[in-house]
Amino acid sequence: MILRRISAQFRRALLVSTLLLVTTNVNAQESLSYDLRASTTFSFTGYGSALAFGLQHKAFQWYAGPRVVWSDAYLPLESPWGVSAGMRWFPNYPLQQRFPSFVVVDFQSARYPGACASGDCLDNTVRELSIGYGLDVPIAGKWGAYSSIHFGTYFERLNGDGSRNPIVTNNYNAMLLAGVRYHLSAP
Amino acid sequence: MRKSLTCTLIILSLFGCERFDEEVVNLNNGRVDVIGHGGSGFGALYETHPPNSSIAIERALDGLHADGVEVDVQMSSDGVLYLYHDERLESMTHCTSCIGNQLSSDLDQCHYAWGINDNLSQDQALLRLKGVLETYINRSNPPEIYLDIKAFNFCAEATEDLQRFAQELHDAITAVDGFDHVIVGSRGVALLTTLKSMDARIRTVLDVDDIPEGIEKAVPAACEGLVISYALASKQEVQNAHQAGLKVTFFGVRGRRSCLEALKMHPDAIQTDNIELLQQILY
Repeated sequence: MILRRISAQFRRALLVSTLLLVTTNVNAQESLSYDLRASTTFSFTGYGSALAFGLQHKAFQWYAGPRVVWSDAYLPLESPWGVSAGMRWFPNYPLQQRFPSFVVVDFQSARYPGACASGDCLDNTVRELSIGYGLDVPIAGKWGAYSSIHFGTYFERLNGDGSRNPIVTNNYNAMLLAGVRYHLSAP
Repeated sequence: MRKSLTCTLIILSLFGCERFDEEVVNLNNGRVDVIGHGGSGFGALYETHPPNSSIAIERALDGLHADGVEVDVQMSSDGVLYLYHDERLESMTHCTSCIGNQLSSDLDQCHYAWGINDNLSQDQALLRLKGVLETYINRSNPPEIYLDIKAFNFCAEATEDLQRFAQELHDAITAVDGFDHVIVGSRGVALLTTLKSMDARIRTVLDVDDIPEGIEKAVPAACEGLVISYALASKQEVQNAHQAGLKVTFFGVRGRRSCLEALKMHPDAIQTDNIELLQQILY
C-alpha cells in the first residue's frame, strides 16, 4: 500500500518534471542546466523533506519531486507522502553575484491515510502554496546550497469516511525552506 | 559500512511506524477513547484552528472521526454558557475583557482573531454550549463531549456563582438528553456535587494534579473519573484509580513519545492535540 502510494507520487512528480521540460525552449539547449536537490521545510505540516529534479533556463528555475513529512507534531507517523514543486526567478540574472537572490513560487502537498476506529476513513490531504524570497549560495564544485522564507496559504482536506462532505480548511501559512543541490550539468 | 548502517538506523527511527499492540486493561472495555483537546487540538507553535471553534470541533468529529472532543466552558454575565479557553477575550478574539464580564448579546458578536493566522474564508464566532450540544448530541451516534468548566473570572478575580453555573449546565445537558455523552469536568468538587444533586445522571470527572489525592476527593463526590496530565501519572496510580472505580483521562499528549507513554499506563481516554497520530498508533 505504502509503496503504491510512493510510486504514485513519483509518477506525478515525473509527469510535472516532464511537462516543465517540454514547455521549456528546447532550442536553447546550451542555456539549460540540470540539478538534483534535497530540501527540508518547516511549515503548517511540520518538518518535511523533498528530493527534486531541477532545471534552469536563464533567469528561471523549475523543480519537482517527491516529498515526505516526518514531524509527528502535526501529522500522523505513517505515509504522509506528497509532492514538492515550484519555480524560481533570479531578478538580477545574468549579473554575477556571490549570493544570487531569487523569488520563488512553491507548492507542497502531503497525503496520509485516515485512521478512524471504524477503519473505513479515506485519505486526507494537505496542500501548501506560497511565495518566498531566498539566496542561492555556491559551496564547492558542483555543490550549492539555498534557503528561502515563504508566506502563503494551506488547504487541508479531511475526507472522513465519505458519508459527509469533506472538511476543508484553509489559512495563512509561513514556511522556511533550506536545501542543497548538485549540478548535473555545468551551472 | 558503519556510515550506511547509521544512515539506515536514522531513517528507520524517523519513519518507523510504531504502533501500540498491548492489551489495555481499563474500565472502558479495553478501549482508549481518542478525544480532541479543544476540538482538534492546540497547535505546537501556533494555532491552525481556533480551539473551541466550530471548525475545530467539526474537524475532529466529522473530518477525523475522533471519539469525542474536550471543550472549555465559561459563563457570561447574564448566565449564557460559551466555549472559550483563555482567561481574557483579547488573547483570541477581537473583543476585550472576560467572558464573565460581558453580556451574551455582545459575546455573540465576538469572532476569533488570529492575526497572521486569521482564517481566509472561515469566520469563526464564539460558540454557545447549547448550540454545540444540539448539533452533536442529537446525532444517531453521538460523540463524547467533555466540558472543562472554567468558573473563575480573572477580570473580577472571583469565582462565578457556582449554583447558577451548575443550573445552566444542568439545563443545557437536560435539554438535549445528553446524560450519556456529556461529561462535566472541573477542578472544584463543589460545582460537581451541586450538579450531581440536581440530577445524578449527569456524568462528572475531577481535574487533578495528583491521582491519590484525586481518588480521595472524586469517590465521595460520585465522579466517574479523573482528568490528569499524563506526565503527572504512573501506571500504578492509574491501576489504583481503576480499582477505586474511577476512569482516567489523560491530556498533554501530542507527539509519538507522549502517545506511547500515555497508552502504556492504560488510560480510559486521551485528550490529544494530535488526533491523527494517536489514531494511527491505536488503529
